[in-house]
Amino acid sequence: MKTIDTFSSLFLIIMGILFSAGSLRLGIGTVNAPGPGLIPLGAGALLILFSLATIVEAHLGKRAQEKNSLFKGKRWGIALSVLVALFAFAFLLDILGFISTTFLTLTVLFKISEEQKWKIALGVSGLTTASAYFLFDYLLKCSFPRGFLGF
Amino acid sequence: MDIFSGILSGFAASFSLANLLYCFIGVLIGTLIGVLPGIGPVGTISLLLPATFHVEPVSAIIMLAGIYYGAMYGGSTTSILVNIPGEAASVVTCLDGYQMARKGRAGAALGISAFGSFIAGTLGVIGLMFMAVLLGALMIHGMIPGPMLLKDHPEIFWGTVTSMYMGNVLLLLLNLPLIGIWVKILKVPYRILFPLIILFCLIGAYSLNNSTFDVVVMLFFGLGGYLMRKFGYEGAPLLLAYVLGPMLEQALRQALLISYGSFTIFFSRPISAAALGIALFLIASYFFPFLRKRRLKVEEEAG
Repeated sequence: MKTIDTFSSLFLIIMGILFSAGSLRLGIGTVNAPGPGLIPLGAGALLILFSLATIVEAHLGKRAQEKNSLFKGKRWGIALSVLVALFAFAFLLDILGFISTTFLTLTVLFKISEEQKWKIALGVSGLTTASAYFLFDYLLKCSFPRGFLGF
Repeated sequence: MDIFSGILSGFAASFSLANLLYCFIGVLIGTLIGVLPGIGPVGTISLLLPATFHVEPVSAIIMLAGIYYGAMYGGSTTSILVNIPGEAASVVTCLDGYQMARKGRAGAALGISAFGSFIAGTLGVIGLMFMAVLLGALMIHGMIPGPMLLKDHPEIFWGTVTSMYMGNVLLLLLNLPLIGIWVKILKVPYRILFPLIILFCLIGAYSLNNSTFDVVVMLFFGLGGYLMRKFGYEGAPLLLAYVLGPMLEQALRQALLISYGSFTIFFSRPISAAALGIALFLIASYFFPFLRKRRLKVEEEAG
């Protein structure tokens, strides 16, 4: 808890500083004629204040034993690969087109994160891609990108 | 007295078989739209607007309004069952509804949501975007929106108002029996459900503006939310802040305008002073010793 709170609070303090600096640039105006930066400045200041308080409390208080490292174990690798797969989806969507990208991403998701057998992964993602395409593109007429393959 | 005759004539108008049918169609389409991501009630209403050209204006408005609150209810269905809000308004439903569903009380959550929308019916606030399309629909049918609408075409106004009650009744009839079916969705193994949910989110984020950048933004915030969860930050207050922040800023500016720049107005006006007092007390109560111990215990139990 201590390290987690310290690091996340430090991150928030930096964010608060950047935020306040940006709002100063926007111009705070006067109290009679508040500029766009007035409230963000206040919010940034509060953010810094509360983050400092969190750090102080994390170090002063008597806390229970620190939890095990958060990023241990196999599930973390899976979470990371899911994230990579999703970013790849966004990147490939315009290149490969909706159908191919969806099929690929779903297969990857089924296979890696949920560890299905190849048959099930391919089958269900194929079915889902087809239904999603039918529902969203054909019925609802959302226009999805077509890749260089033409579909 | 005028109001009563107006309401009666409105009910007469909306009880006609044709209008009931239009209301039902609207509500049905609306619920489907609310459940599915990627297209919202405003988009659907715009798409279906040309289909209403040939019908009576009252019927058209009734159907379009039915789509709107059908979508509102459909959005809360997905919020409760899979913790994915169908509409922006349903985000808050996620907080309690999903917790109830996880404890096996999904049916009760859906029922409460249906009844809640029913009771809150006209009396709720209709979004501005929805109103804009509706005004467009009125003008297409040759009516000029404005104060004269009530005088020249009272049946439109009262018909719409009463159809909203009808629509909510229809929603109840439509959805309560279906709750059993909806709950079965929860029985689908999470291994299959999880990629589908992700797919819906991706499609939803993309189809708003046909832009992959939107998808990337969503993924970044998704990552942020995941980290927040891991580090023990609560999501609900952030959510409230997103909703209340703009309102706070606007109200602050208005108050400062009224008081010519003096901050003392927040303390000299009784309602504001009382609200501020309660807020300050709540913040200070964080430090009260006896409350501290209780809160730490609750936090530990919650895990």
